[in-house]
Amino acid sequence: METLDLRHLACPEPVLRAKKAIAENPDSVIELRLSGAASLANVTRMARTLGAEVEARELPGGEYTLTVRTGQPEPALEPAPCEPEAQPGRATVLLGNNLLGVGDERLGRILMKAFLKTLKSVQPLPREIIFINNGVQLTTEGSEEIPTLLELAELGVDVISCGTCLDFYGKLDKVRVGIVGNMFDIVVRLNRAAKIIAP
Amino acid sequence: MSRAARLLLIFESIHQVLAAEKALIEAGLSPDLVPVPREVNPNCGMAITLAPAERGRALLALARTPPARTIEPWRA
Repeated sequence: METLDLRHLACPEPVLRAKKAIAENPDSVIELRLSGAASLANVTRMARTLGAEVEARELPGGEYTLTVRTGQPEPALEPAPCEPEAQPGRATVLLGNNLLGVGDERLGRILMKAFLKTLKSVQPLPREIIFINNGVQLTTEGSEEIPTLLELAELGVDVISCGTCLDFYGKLDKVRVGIVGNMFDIVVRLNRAAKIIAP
Repeated sequence: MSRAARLLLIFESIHQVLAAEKALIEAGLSPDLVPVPREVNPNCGMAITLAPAERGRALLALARTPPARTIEPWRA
């Protein structure tokens, strides 16, 4: 059984190395050593999208052992162009700030509010909304946009907050809607997007 | 999705919307800013909704800058 020590590597390095190991070892068992809950969540999600079975074991000091049983490679996050899952037409929205546009802060706040509320009524709905940098203020505790984002999530829109950004702002444990993603997740989603809306 | 009916306050400009929101919050009310279609308000794309029960207190708080129009019931 191959063992890979991915502890203390900066995001998204653990995901990239684990992905490579899974791709190179079909139908086998790999043991991954990880540090931090965010790293565990990111690697687990990636492994499952590749069709692997995973089992996590918590160790002292915030470390984890993740046992990964790989199957035949299935790059679910990088679908072939003709795969039905691609859902052409659904946009990916990228928000890099909690305000919309550059200018007056009060105006930027209500423009963002209007933007998110209006997103609920467009067809087709966006496939996902990705929040990076100060955009993560919108998905975390204290945001007045949480109810709108929860509605969008219930309608099937993926809500992804950048983990590095949450960490930077001290809000990793304050996410109130959606999931935490890393740069690997974000780049893959942007790369496969039918179109990107980045207001 | 069925939504509870709200009171919709229409203003002539975004500056009036912002001032009204501030006044309503200071009065202890819970205004919610919502986008409205152009046919509802051609002058400003944002309006304020409130619970119908807050109508009296809201209009009192907005005595100096009353809304141009109120719509009730309003469902988003």
